[in-house]
Parts: sequence; structure tokens; C-alpha cells
Amino acid sequence: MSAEDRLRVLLEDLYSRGAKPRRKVNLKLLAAVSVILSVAGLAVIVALGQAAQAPLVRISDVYGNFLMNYATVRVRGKVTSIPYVDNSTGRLLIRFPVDDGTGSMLLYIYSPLSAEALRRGLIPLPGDVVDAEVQVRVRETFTYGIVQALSAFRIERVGGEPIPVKTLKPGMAETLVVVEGEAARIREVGSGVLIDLDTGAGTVEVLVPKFISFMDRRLYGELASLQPGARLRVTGVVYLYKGSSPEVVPRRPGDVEVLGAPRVVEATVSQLPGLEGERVRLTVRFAGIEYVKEERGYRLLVVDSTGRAEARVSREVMERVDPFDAFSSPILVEGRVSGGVLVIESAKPLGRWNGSTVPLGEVTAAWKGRIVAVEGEVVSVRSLGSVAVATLRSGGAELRLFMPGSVYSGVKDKLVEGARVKVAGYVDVYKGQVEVVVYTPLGVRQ
Amino acid sequence: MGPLGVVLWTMFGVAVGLGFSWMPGFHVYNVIALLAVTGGAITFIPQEAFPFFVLGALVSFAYSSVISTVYFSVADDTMIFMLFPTQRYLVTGRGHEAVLMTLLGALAGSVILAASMPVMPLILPFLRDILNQFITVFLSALVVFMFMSEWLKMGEREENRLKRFLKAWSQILGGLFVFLASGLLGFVVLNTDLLPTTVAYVRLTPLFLGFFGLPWVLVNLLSGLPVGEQDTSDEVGTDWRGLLSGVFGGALGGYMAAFFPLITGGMGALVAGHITSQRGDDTFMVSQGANRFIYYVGAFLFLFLPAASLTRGSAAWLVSSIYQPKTYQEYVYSIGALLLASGVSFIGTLALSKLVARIVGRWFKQISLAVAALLVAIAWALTGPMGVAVMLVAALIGTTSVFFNTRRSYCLGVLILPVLISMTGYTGVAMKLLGLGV
Repeated sequence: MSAEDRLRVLLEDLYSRGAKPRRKVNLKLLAAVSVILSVAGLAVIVALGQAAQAPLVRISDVYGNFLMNYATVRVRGKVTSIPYVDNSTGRLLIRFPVDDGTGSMLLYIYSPLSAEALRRGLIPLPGDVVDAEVQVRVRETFTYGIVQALSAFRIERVGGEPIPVKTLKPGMAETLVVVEGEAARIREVGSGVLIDLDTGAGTVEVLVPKFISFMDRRLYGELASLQPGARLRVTGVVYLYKGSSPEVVPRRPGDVEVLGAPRVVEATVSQLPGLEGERVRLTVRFAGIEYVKEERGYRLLVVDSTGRAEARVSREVMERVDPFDAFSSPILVEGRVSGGVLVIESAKPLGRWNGSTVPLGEVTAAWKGRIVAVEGEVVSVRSLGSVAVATLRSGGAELRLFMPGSVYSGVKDKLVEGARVKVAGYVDVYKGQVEVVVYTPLGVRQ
Repeated sequence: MGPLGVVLWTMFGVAVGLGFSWMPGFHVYNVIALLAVTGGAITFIPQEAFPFFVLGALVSFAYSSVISTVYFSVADDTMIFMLFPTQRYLVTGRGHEAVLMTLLGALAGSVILAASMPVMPLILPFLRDILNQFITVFLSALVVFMFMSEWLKMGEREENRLKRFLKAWSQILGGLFVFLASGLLGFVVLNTDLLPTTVAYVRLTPLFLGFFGLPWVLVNLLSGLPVGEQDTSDEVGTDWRGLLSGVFGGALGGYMAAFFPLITGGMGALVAGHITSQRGDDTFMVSQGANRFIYYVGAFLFLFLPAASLTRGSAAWLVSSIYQPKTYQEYVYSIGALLLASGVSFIGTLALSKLVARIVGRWFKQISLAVAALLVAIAWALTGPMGVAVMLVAALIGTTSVFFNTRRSYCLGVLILPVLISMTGYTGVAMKLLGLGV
């Protein structure tokens, strides 16, 4: 008996003992037939699929409909907000809302399509109409769509020749405009770089969206650190921030042109009255610092050897001025003379702190409005919601510290009871009591 | 919802799961889908109770579906590796023993899963953050591994070089064909309106019924497998070493499958089986019990993790679109519900197994035919006549894998291939190539 026969007997004894003999099945034939039928079946399915493209749906029919989870459909609607770009998870993501008149839904473009979309400038702006094939995801509280292919993602852009403007009105929403002016104020916000552009006839707000940084990192960095006074020409779509505040949003890096750095006049304090409207740079010391809540900024006196002058500075600019350095060194400021007042747009102490402090007992009302640096032990700290107060003790004298909540949250690890700290800020008198106002987290050191 | 509500709705889920899952072809996902499609899930069950109902149904499914696998040879994608050991047990009258061994694995899986839940909120976010960006790499590697593990065999006995070559390559080429064909089918179905998008949630159902349900019914009818009298005593031929080894390997594979999207229990078991070098039918069946339980139930339980929830698996996606558990209380309840449902399902499945063991030998062919009719009816009810057409094509591809004696898990190309295409950004290119309108 051959080995094969022996094996068959063994298998039959194991698995088929007592059973009726079974028909022999030609596996090779069955395999060939199944392949042929599979291919034929697939061909039919593909042909049927060609005639069954993803249907255009209304967002209201999809939204919250859990039976449509994972459905591949087309949506067509107007983009209502500036796309958000995020790379924090390692997967580049672009997200924006579309509204088709029946409802609104977020669309997501994930990596690698997102990188390709940025490379090709396929980023819609508010007012653009998007037609996209998406896979729907329905969650308990929201529904969103994931863009499937860029070839099935079309943008009908807000078109026409850009209209030159010098001011913006809400009625201009979703129109293409071009604006030229001098950057008056530059700050980074969550959605990008916000620039107040002085056109001569008014101020136009320009938002360079964060997604531009993924298209041209160098340009975005340049804009984020732009010096006030630089001239810009920006082409973009008018977007109503919070539905009422118009701002120009460029679509791609080429839409923002930096025309030139500002002309700056080197000056002294005594020359300021004759430099109305000019951009100036001078070295001063701060005196008479006073916070004006309504202006969200400070009024101050700036002094040098030639005289003293009134100045204004925003909270954002002031927060970047290290009070320790400013205590022992003069400050280089740059700004514009407007209405006889120096509007400071950047300020930087010229030297580093020399380590000197004023004994607590010597900080009196005579120091009001001036920057001091002190040192002592924290006796008490109290957070009062939007502000915080602390008491510093040294050599038998005590001094009250006052700080806004935003500053306190940045220093509360250092400012704990019993800790010995160095504190710098400006002196104020509140209800007859002398206090040091710590206006920036830079004002507390261990 | 209070503890009484949790117990009641969990037990209701267990009852539904035990009532349907032992029947061939009745995957619990289909039952849940039917409930959802008919609107029962929303109108009858309170929203905050729905996760517990599904948990109960999933747990009982993870236990009782072993009956259809052992006695009727109907497999889902996670059971494909069980067929041969369980068939061996069935034809030698030890079907109930096979059921009991798998249940022991599932019971161990329940305990392991419940014990691991308290640490999951610490581990999962960490793992997710690290591994999330490498999902495409893992999936690709797994596909390659599946093919590599079947690399060139059985060619040494053929008489000439050409025959040896063809024999050696037939299995792997058959697998490749099945993977690509199922992937193509999945791609067309997922990216078109071939099956109605209005019931998109259930459009994978006819595909899975076709790939994993119908081929085995067909094989049952073709092969005329002899099923004799069954021994229903509650005894198992294994030892502690076999049990522990099976539980460890199964749990490892189950966690892999539960954590990674698209990786199913069967694939997790394949990898874990290689990692732990498992041998023996008893170890194998125990490991499959633990593996399937952790895969199905673990993936779903991740939805309950407060502040670290993961949506894994079809049931989790459906539930999260209706009610997402949010509180620590629900999280603690879910662990209790898991243990309660496991205990009841274990006892219930054991009793069902004894019942089925008595009838299986007599009506094997009739039951197989009834299963085929049932699968067609489910596909029709959920997705209409086109669903049945898609199911038949899927069944042809699934049958090809049987005739090439290659892994049925290659049919998972239906999901893996479209997702890999999507993750690598080639959906548009593929659609253009196939003339699908982009």
C-alpha cells in the first residue's frame, strides 16, 4: 500500500468512520470556476458602480442620521468660516464648516490629502462654494464629513477683480478686495496673525490665517514679527469676524506683499512735538505709568535728558517689557507721534538687570509711576478671581503686590507663601497704600 | 440611570444575544442594525440605556456564537482559524467539549478585561498618542505578514518542476487574488451609491455575510460532513498549562484587535499565535474564546472610558451616534454589567450547546439550507436586491478562498484595501482608474 493510500485510510478512519462514502470533488475545477465567476461578478459590480456615483445630499438629511454613518456622499455648500489647520497630533488636519442652506457641517481633510491641498492652494475661504465627496461620520452631538479625494473636491471661489478699498464695511462680506497701508499693530491670535493696516483713510484689519504658515513658513514668520510701520498690500476675501467685524483674509502667500520697511526718525523727547505723524525711535525711561482700563493700555511719561513727553502703550506691548531690565537700563522705544502723543509700538530695555533692588521700606508714594525691583519673602497670597494680591516682607518692612489674574496664573508656582522672590513692576498708590503692580509674568523671579 | 436600569437593560441585551447569536448567520451587529433600521433602537430603548443593551448583546454574542461555529461551521472573520479544530471535534462527537473549551477562554477573557479596565484610562491615551500616526504602517505590515506566514508550501510532492511550482504558489496566489478581489469589491461599495447611502451603516453586512457566511454553508452542502452523536458531558481534555497558554495568547491578540482600527480578532489571533508559539487544539480553542471576547467586548468597552474613550468597532460607532457614555459612574457600571452578562451568557450558552448537540446530527443539511436562506433574507431586508447581488459576488470570492485552501481572513481586504488606499491619499486615483466618476 502506497503512502498516499495509507494516509487516506487513516483520515477516513479518523473522520469518516461509519459514514457513507462521499462523492469526490474536483477542487482544481472548483477553484478555476470560482475565480472566473468572481472576476465576472466583480466586473458587473464595477460596471454598476460606475452608474451609481455618490449622491448629492442635503446636510439636514445627513446631520444626526446615524444610519448614514460611513455613507459616501457629495455635499455642496458655502464655506462660513476660516479653515482651521492643526498638526498637533502628527497628522495634518484641515477643518472648515460648510452651509448648504439646510444646515451646516464641518468638513475635514486629513493627511496626506491635507498636505497636498495646502501645496496646491486648495483651501477655501468664507464665501467660497465647496463641492466635495465626503464620508459621513455621525456622532451623538455632531456630524462631520471626511473629504475622500482632492479630485472630488472643487472650490468655486469668490471671483472677479479685487476691489481696492481703504475702509471695510460689513456689507462687503465675501467680496474680493485689495488693501494697501501701513501696519499699525501686529499680534498673533489663535487663528493667525492679525494686522491693523492704516490706509490713511482708516484702519483695515487683516488676518493672515494660520494655514498660510503651512504654505510659506518664512513669510508667516516675517509677518508675525513685522515691525509697525511696514507697508503692505493684501488681496483677500472680506470675512465678518463674529458676524459683524470685517477683516481681509488672504488666500495664499502671494496675496500678501511686504512693500517696504517703515521710515524711522531717530529722535529725542524734546523733538517729538515737531515730528507729528512720523515714526520715531528714541531711548527713554518710563515714568508715571498708569493703567487705563477703558483703553486696555497704559498712559505713561517718557523721559530722557532733553525732557519729558506723554505716551501710550498697549497692554500686549507692555507685557513684553521685562521690568527688571527696565529698572536698571534705559528703554529703546519705537512708535508714531499722533496728536502730540507718542504711541509706542515696540519697547526693549537696552541692557540686562544689574541685580540691584530697592529695600521694601524705601518704596514710598514718591516712587509712584516708576518701575522698581524689590526682594523679600512672600507672606501671603490671595487670588481674588480676576486679580491677585500678595504681601512681601523683608527687613521688618512689608509691601503689597498687585497683579492681574493673567499675570498671577503665570507666576503662581513661584509666588507661594514662604518663598523668597524678586519682584519688579511699577509703583502705584491704592486707597492710600503703596503697592507694586506686577504687570507681566516676567516681573517675578526666584 | 440607576443600577437597576443598568442590570435590566444589560440582561435584555443578553437575552437578545442568546436568542439570536447561536443561530448561524445571525451576527449581533446584524441584530443591532435591524433594531436600528426598524427604529426600535431609538423608540423603545432609552438613549442612555442603549450602550448597556448593546454591551449585554455583545457579551452574549461573544459566548453563544461559538455554537453556530462549532455545530454549523458558520464563521465570521474572527473564527476562521477555529474551523478545523472544531470540525475535528464535531465529527468525533466532541462538539460540546469544543464549545466548553472556547467558553472557558471567553470566561477568562471576561475576567481579564474587567480587571484591566481600571488601568485603561492611563494606558490607552498614551498608546493612542504614540501609535496613531503609524496605523497605516501597522496595517501594511500585517497584510504582508499574513502572506509571509503562508509562504510557499506543499510543493515538494509533485512529479515535475512546473507542478511543484504551481502547487507551492497556488495557495499564496489564491490568497492574493482573494485579498485584491475583496478589496476591489469593498472599494466600489464604499465609494459609490451602489448600496443605498441612506442605510450606509449596514452596507458592510451583505459583504460580510457573503465572505464568511455563505461559503461555509456551501462547503457544508458540498462536503456532506458526517456529524454523529454528540457527547454532552461537561468535561474538557486539557490541562492548566494549555488553558493558561491559550488565555494569554488569546488575550494578547484580542487587545491588539480591539485597540487597532480594522484589525479584527482573527488577525490579532494570527499575530499573537505566532508571538506565543501556540500548539494544540485545546490551547487553540481556549485562545480563540479569549481572543474573540476581548476583541468584540473590549473594543466596545473603550467607548465607556471617560476622557479617554476610543470608538472601535461597528457597535461602538452606532452607539456613539446615539448616546456616548460620559460619566465615571457609567464606566463603573459597564465593568459590573460586563461581569454579570458574562456569567449569565456562560451558563446560557452551555445549556444551548447541549440542546443543539441533540439536533445537529439529524438536520445538518436542512439547517445549512435554512442558514443560506436566512443570510439572503437578512441582506435583502437591510440593503435590498443590490445587497443580495453584492453578497453573492462576495460569496464567490469567499468560496475561492475555500477552494484555494487559503486564509478566509484575506477577505478582510474588503476593508483593509480601501482604507489603505484612503490613508495613502490614492482614493481619487483609484476611482479614476475604475471609472467611478471622479
